[in-house]
Amino acid sequence: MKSIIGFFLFGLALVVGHFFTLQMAPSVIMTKAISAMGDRGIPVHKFVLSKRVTPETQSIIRSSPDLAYSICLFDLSNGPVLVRGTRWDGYASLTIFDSVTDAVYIISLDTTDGGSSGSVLLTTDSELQPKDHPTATLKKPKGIALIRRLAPTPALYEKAKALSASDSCDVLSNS
Amino acid sequence: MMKLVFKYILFVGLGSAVGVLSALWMSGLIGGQRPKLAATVTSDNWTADWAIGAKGATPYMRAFVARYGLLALPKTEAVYFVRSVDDDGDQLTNKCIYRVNGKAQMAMWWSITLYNDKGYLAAGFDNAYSIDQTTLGDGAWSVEVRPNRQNDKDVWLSSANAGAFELMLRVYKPATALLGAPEKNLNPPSIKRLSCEGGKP
Repeated sequence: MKSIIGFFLFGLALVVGHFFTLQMAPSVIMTKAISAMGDRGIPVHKFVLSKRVTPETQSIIRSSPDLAYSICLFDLSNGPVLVRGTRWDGYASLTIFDSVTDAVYIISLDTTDGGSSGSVLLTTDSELQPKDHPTATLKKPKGIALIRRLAPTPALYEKAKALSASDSCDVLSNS
Repeated sequence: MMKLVFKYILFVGLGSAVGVLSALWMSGLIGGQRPKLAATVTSDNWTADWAIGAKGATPYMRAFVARYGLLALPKTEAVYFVRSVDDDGDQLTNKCIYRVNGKAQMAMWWSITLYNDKGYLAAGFDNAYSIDQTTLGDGAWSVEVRPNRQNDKDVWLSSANAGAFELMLRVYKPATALLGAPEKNLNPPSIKRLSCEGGKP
């Protein structure tokens, strides 16, 4: 009887440990990534264009040297955040990654899709449904907004750099 | 009694340790292998996993992607094919020169990038890390992968300092037909080994 209880406890702990680890892995990895980006000087609520991806600058595995990446770290603890990306002549997209690495929202920023910019309001309040912007409701407050723009040459990267200054990622004061 | 309690605590500790380690191993977080339960798509040795970025991905795949493909896009936006062997099935290496032949993809934009076996750009001297649709156009194309530039006009991929390497084919905004039948509608580039330093590797 005692050994049956022992094996039962072993099996139970194995299953709990196994699935708890799997459940926690993405959020632990995302928390580390956000922290590492913060350590590299990326502020919260401001888009920063990453340096052109080269062997010397590459920090994220398998990132593309053909794309210009603009990153904003957001935190919805102090209210909704409006993310806006300026459109680009070529492939471009804005993706919202939540605290467990899921891509929860994607919009195209190609100029062919019309308008001068694309935007999304990020919130943890599922009842907030503004008319002005599409909304993405997140379960937890922290995450990453990432804009990709096709810029395979140094000249196009410089053009993307100039354009990226007009991207925004701001806490809404009155919503 | 104390001895029995200690014994049970030991069982729980051992069970937890085995559970944690097995989860890390099965999801590729230790050992580096891809999860066995992944939704793999293969075409001529180009392998992709279309569970990447999908909310329905298995917890093993989600953990793997969080570690090795952080901030990757779901398949409706982009698919990522990787190949690490030539047409004869041998590991790609910077000791050899290869010719890669391909065609345009059914997509808005596509590219081929050379990474070392850790997923990082090789520290070459030549900036030839990647080639893409804006350079190769919309028809058939052919480039060499080699450790050194042959002439200034070449469109090529540099394997300088890469060691064992892999090529990644990125396909952005893939056509619905490609997503529906990749084995039929992907144009998988071939990789022919031309020569090797000191013969076959």
